[in-house]
Amino acid sequence: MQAVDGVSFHIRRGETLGLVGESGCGKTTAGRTVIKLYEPTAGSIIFDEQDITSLKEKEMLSLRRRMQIIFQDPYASLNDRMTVGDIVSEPLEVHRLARGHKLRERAAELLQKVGLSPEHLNRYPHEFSGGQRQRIGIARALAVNPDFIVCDEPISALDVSIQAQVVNLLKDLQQEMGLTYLFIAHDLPMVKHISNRIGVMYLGKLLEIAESGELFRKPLHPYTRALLSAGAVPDPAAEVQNRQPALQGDVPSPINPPTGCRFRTRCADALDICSRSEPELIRVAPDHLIACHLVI
Amino acid sequence: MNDILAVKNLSTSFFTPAGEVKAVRDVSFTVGTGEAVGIVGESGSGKSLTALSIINLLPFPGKITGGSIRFAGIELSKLNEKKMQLVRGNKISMIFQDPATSLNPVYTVGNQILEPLLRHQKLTRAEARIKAVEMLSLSGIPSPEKRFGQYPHEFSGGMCQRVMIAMALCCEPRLLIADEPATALDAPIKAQIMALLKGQKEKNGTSIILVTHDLGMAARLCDRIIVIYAGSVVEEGTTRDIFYNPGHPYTRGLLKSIPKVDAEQKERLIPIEGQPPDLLNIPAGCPFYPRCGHAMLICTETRPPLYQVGEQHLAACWLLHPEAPGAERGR
Repeated sequence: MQAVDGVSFHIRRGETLGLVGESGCGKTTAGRTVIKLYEPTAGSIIFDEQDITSLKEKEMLSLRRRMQIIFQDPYASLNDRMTVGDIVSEPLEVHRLARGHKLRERAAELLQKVGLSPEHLNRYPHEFSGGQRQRIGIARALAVNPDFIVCDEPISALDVSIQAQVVNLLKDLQQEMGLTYLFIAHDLPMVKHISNRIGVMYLGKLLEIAESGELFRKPLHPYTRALLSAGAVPDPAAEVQNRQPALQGDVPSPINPPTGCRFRTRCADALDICSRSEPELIRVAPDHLIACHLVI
Repeated sequence: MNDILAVKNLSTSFFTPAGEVKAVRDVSFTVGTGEAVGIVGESGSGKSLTALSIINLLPFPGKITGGSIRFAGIELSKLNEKKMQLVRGNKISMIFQDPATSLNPVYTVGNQILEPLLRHQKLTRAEARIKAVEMLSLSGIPSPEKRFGQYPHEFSGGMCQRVMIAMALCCEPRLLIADEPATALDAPIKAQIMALLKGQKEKNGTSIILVTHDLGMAARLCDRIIVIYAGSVVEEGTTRDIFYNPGHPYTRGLLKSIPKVDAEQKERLIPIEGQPPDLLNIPAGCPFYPRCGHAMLICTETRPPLYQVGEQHLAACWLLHPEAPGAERGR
């Protein structure tokens, strides 16, 4: 089963690329493969002008200092048996960046950077709320001073008002430390808020990718348009307009995806050609690419 | 409009070894026939427990400690378990948050829909089966005949939720309680579920209580909204009241912390700083004061009553007292 099939994109230094799509579209797999948590079966990954595709684990180790990941589930991504101090200093130890009391100092600094306090160093994860645990995950990712962080649905499991706190933190840190993010999520308004560009995935394929504002102002792919209209906004007047759900049915199984364009089975405007040939990702504007036979 | 449900001064507590956790504190609201009322709040606010209290499905050691729950003329809080079972699944149904774990994994989906039908309606097994398949189809499940004999693990999350809705609606309840029915699902499936519920309300006049933290869903589905914080109602009003003229600082804070799709990216989100209180030790006064930018001395001492802000619009905030300093009012 191909989770990610022929997906190409680039991320410029200092920017945030958002990656959205329904469950099973391959966005998480793409994110994890980019930092080689999964081995790619084909294609190439170029990190800071270096081809890292075939590097073995040993060779990847020093590079991992520069690429980190924040996970979705704040209750599963922290080791319950380790103190917060240990969790946050582990990357420093692995990369031999600090020792002894210097290690502890750095851990305290990191906690403060994410809005927690040094007194939390000796506590265990279960003593913290979801939002706080996510901050610990962020501190851990920052420990080695990375250039690039994959944020895999970092706020989905959090309450609305806490989401805002964490997103602001991520944005501030990006400014302060010159970080580059790959932000994987399914909440479109939030993704738009934090990303410079957004890619839309479906069943392992990249269907559209554009600058954030452009994607929302002029979504070209039928799937992107449907995704945007499906999202309920906290605005009763806007919601009154929303009568029929734009997308019916479920996403087909990735084990047996539709021939040609994978989205055709749910596309209201599907043509004959859509079942015969898979559309290529083509550039329609300076920062707007789309894979769709309707847009020629 | 007639009220199908009237909850008055409902209080529910959990009697734990550490003490009494007052999870629902003096909550009152009504639901009209064919109306959708949203109970909106964040994790731990007591919104789910309020809903569970209505049909007495509180997990141990929860107990209703006070108040009245009147449904179609019957006082629900006084019903024994035997009588309550005649109401559940029949006159009042509930759908839960995580469909995959709410369905029984060892019974076929068909069997699970048959259960309320056989229990509450005088149908033969054959008649019930026909109705069950029809319900599956109405809930948007393709190939319902085939799906009838399948097990929950053979369904996706969205399909499981539709099965639960089919189960909940098969006896044509007058009130449907939906506890975060689509939170775990993707936006397109969420939209379908909401359309299903909305259709039910419009075609059959089913009243709905939607418990959620998703303000977008509440805006799409609900006629009126109750905002709950730390077990108390802090604001209630029509959906337009709540979204366009929020009267309580907590409601305003929630609305300000959500990104607007048409906003400029540079605009900063304004989160509500801090966290909800520990329900074991709720401070005296207004439960929101530690996080409120406008807190006054009285807020730390006495709980504010609900003040009238509009025709159907109330908010529990000392800033709305006729003698409150005017300068603090406003956004």
